Amino acid sequence: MFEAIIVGSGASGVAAAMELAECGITPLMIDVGHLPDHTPGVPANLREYRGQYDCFDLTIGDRYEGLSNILTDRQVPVKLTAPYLEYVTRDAEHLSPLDEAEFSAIQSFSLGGLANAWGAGLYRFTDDDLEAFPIARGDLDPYFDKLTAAIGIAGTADDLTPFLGSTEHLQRPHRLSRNVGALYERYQRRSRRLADSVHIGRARVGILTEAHDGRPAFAHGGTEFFREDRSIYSPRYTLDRLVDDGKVVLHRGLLVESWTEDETGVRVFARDIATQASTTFATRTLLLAAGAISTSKIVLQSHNDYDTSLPLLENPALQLPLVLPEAFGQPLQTDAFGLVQLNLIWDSKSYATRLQGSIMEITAPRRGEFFASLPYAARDNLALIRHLLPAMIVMQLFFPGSSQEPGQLQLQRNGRLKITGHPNTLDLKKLQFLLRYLRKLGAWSLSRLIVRVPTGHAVHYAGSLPMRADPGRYQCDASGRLHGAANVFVADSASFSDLPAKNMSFAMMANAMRIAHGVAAPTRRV
Amino acid sequence: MSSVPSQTEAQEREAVKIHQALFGRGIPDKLKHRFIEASNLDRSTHAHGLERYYQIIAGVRDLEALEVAGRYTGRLPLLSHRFQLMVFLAESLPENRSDFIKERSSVVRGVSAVIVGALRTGYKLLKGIVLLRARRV
Repeated sequence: MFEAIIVGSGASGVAAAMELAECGITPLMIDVGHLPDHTPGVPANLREYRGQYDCFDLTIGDRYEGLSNILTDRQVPVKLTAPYLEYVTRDAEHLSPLDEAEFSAIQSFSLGGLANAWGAGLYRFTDDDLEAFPIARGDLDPYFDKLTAAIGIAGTADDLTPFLGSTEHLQRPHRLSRNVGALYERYQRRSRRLADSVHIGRARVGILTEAHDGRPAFAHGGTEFFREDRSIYSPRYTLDRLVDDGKVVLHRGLLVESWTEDETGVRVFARDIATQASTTFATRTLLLAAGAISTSKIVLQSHNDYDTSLPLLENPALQLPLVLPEAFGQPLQTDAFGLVQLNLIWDSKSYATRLQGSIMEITAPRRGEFFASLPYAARDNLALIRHLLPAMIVMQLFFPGSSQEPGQLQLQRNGRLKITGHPNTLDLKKLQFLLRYLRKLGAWSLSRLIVRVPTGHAVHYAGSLPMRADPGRYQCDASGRLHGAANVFVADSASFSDLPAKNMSFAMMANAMRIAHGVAAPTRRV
Repeated sequence: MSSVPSQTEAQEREAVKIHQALFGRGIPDKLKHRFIEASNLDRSTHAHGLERYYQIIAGVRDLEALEVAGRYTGRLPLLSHRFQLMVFLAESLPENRSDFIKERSSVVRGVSAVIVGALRTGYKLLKGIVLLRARRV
């Protein structure tokens, strides 16, 4: 019998494993655990490479994976179309078939999970963010600190510190690109004279600016969308080390389907995805960390429940292209940092809530991604790509999960999960204040190009088995224990009580560690 | 069996014409091959009305005008789709780098691209609408 079994090898599962290992428990981790077929060899600067070599293998792929959004009906976020990232979503439609209505879920059965393709934005939840949770910031802070030291997070103290939390142990921030730097410089000069409901500061990202723990500093080569870059943190790196050190037993190739519990412990039922054979494991404690959707499915299957609908939160989001007229006619900056450079917090009166924006360059994606969004004839659109895109940046604006009705998850008798969402109907007219504010910083929005991100594509899924102070059925207590179970804990974002407008990954990891710590403390065990 | 070669020929013609419309030059064999291969994986290739689509584009010299008019009127979505496909495939070739990435600073060329582009697009749009009507699309 294992002391603990963790289901899922993504950010939550690995964080829980780290904490259990530190407490002297060697857990068994079970996951399908797909790995990349190969890591393409690319020189340091992709943009220079593109001028010299055929990039077909790198950007399209020999099975045309890079064109999946064009060739198939299934739409995924742009980054996931990179051929080398094919493994991240491989087999998802077979391993966890979904019937979706107004929801387009992204699922991963790869080792390391969706974090293999994340933007590595890592933000501490504050007490404001945790208002609906039965825990406070102080409960998570020790784990935020541990993670910051382990991962290597770039950031600094600035106007966002009250919203993003402690700056201790942060590496220096990434250097800003020409366009984003110009916007930030204006903000720093003018912010006191502008509205105090908008705050801008440097992003907190798990991307190294200094070599750390055997990983190199980020090289600014534009490769971040197209190959594995060890300067960008992936939980897989931590997991590899834990497995090598004998602190985690990893069992790949298994899909956990359900569990039962009695006074002797928990029995976990899994299916070998190659042979379809069933396997059973026994454990004292089960930590579910397969991601909100898969964890919910396992819970519903364990209860043979085909009637209950569980809630599913996601951050509705808008994508705002911004043009800096002063940069018009400039060449494309070939060494710009392609992921989030700045964050913006807006205490919006019009939306009556706090919103978070992530501001980034658009130098990393293929230029073709923008072709269909531009309004001119084809050859003139190519000219716009050359002349206009170097003057453009983009802001992804996230809204709290409570901004729209939660989706519904329901297990069907055919084994498929039904997810019913709601279309993104965010009112663009309410953006006027923010657009005016950004114009004062020299960034003009092309309102025709503002995109409502399809529901599901923010890939922040949470709240299906929420923590409550007084939990009911399919809810967790503050320790993450599932109501009605003695030793089954929900260690991923399924247990979130709410979803603030802030990237949830870091809080999810810290909370998984907190739950794992509770599991490891004998006095907490039932 | 006889429809297979004719479809391939139609696809080849399509590739040549779309590339010409986009870049104003002939298509490299490698790109043509990739375009056809990708088209065969495209869900739209198997859609009803494909034969009519090939007939329409075979009979039009200015495919760029037809595409922009189709895009604005919601007709002939397959043509816009195929333009997008060609753009992605063409971008991967090193010889096309300068079609996508500007190396030198030039505000004048940038401004003229926007102004001239708007005027030219207007012309192409009108021409394309006439072409769509003439072919009863």
